[in-house]
Amino acid sequence: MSFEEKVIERDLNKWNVLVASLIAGFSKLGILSQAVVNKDMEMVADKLARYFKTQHNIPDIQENSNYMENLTKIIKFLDLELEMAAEKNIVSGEENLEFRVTTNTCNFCPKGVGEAELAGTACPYPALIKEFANFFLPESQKIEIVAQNRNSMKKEDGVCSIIFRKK
Amino acid sequence: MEKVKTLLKEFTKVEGVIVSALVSFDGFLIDGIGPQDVDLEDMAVAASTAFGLGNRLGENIKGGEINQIMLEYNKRSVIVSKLPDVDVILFIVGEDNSNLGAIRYSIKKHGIELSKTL
Repeated sequence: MSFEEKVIERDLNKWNVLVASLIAGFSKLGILSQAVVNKDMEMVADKLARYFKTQHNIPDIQENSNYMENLTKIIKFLDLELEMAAEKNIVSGEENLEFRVTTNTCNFCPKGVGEAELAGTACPYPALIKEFANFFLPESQKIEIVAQNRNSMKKEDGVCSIIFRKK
Repeated sequence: MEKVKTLLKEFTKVEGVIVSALVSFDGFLIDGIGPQDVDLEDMAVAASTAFGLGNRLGENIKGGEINQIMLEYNKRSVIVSKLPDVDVILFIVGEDNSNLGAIRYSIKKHGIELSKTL
């Protein structure tokens, strides 16, 4: 599928293209990997959280709600603000919470949108969600990413999966 | 993973070696040995990035696939080496008294066995 077709199929906006291509550009220098994106997105998430706080627009989390309810609200908030993907869902397990995105509907994928030539993944969402959530979650509800095959996400059968749990 | 740890310890038997670690091409730490004050996960990201940059340079100079990078600093040295047949990097840090030749020999000696355990 050509880039132009992706723009139409995914209904991409200019910010999607800017961010995904910016990340993807590092693949040409040989320095793009999931671990590098994770480190970078930790810093991005902090800035983004402080931006929304400055704008008095923050996720409606409650101290007396459990971490899954609060994390769900935070992910929905991020998705609303950033328009992460057209098709996604949040699945609560017993102790984990999984964020699933239909791969070809993701708006910030450095591979799908940015067309990074990369064997592995370079998803910005695992570290973005983790750090953004931890900025707002109460101390007792801080989260971490659950590794899947040593990676911070899993891409399988057209679905990208990121799993979080309470630390 | 116990076998991996045992093999990683072989590298730290070389005089001056303080860190030996395995890192995926994606930059994730697989396993490693190092002092408490060393953040192996951060090192893993940097090692994979250095390897990626080295690989890119190799393409520019038409040097073929990258096998190993050596970096010498004022106080310590680093060897980043691709393990045979797997997408995994071996990352070794030595103090300034470490013998780089001995480290490279150790990589040749244990690298294949290490690959087979992964």
